[in-house]
Amino acid sequence: MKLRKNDKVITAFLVSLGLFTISQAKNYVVNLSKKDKTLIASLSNLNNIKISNTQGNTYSLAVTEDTGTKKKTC
Amino acid sequence: MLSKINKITILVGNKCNYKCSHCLFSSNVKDYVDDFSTLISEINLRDVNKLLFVGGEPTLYIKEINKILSKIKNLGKKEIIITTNGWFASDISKTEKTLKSFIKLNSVQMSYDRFHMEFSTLKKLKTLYNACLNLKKDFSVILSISNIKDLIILKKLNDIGSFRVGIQKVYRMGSAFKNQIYFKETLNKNFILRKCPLIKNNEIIYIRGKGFSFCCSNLFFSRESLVVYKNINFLMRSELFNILKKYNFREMANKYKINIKYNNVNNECDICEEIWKNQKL
Repeated sequence: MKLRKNDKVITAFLVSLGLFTISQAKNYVVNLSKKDKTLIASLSNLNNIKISNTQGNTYSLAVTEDTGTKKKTC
Repeated sequence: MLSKINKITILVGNKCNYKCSHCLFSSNVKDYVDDFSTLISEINLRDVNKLLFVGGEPTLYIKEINKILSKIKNLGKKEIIITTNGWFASDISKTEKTLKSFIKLNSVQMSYDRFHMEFSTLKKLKTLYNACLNLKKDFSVILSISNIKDLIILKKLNDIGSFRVGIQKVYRMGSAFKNQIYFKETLNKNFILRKCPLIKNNEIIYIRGKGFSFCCSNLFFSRESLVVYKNINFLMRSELFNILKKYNFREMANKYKINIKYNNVNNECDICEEIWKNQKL
């Protein structure tokens, strides 16, 4: 699957957040509209806030603590 | 000193003034009576680094939280955190007054996402952020998402200030399941190669009136008797706790001959439930 520049940016962003594996992210990106791609790509360079995944993946009342790391692996 | 625990998350009560459609808990559930004496003695017995108060809405339970904090030894060495919906942040002085009413408070995490937006505003988030800056308290935002487009809120958060934003998927539990608004993407298969993050990170949950748990996810809702214990010693001696400590999710599935149907699960907690829901321990 060949990705355009914006697609690559979005894929890397979603993978870095621990939301998808690379192949999942690629599959997701190709189905996005151009408008959504532009919107999501613009999130990858926000420079004020520091975005992380709370604990790799797990959602729960117990893990609602941001670790402050850009990429968190568990 | 008994075993070291990195964090105890304390579900201090169910009451909440918001009715978010994705919440794990129903705020209509009456709180169990609890004098928190077991919780306090366990904290004092062990080396606990952090206490995270959640709810419901923890700022509706400041009296109870202060009662707990007032009885904790070496409180100065512990990090006290709350996760709040920020309802009280209508103006800066009221917000600071609320934050100051805790005996000790290091960090404030505000839940803000499209679900909380139905009840809250960015203005409140900004006020709480500024109050935390003034009082030198750490501030961060927890953003729950049910799909990738929910991330768009990040742009608005970025305009407010410089803080951390923790993203978490809405899981297939509680109201999110009932309302079908959980994150519907399939499982990130890398995650089944790791052990339960909660146990790996030495974290425990305390549920008001019930006791201590090592699960805050599916099994807590479907097989409470398997994961909730009156004290931490019983919990740490339990069979399932030790299995989860030893094996990752894939190893567990192999060991108990469970065929994981990846299309039916969207997180490792679903796998765990599939393994254990019918097992006799």
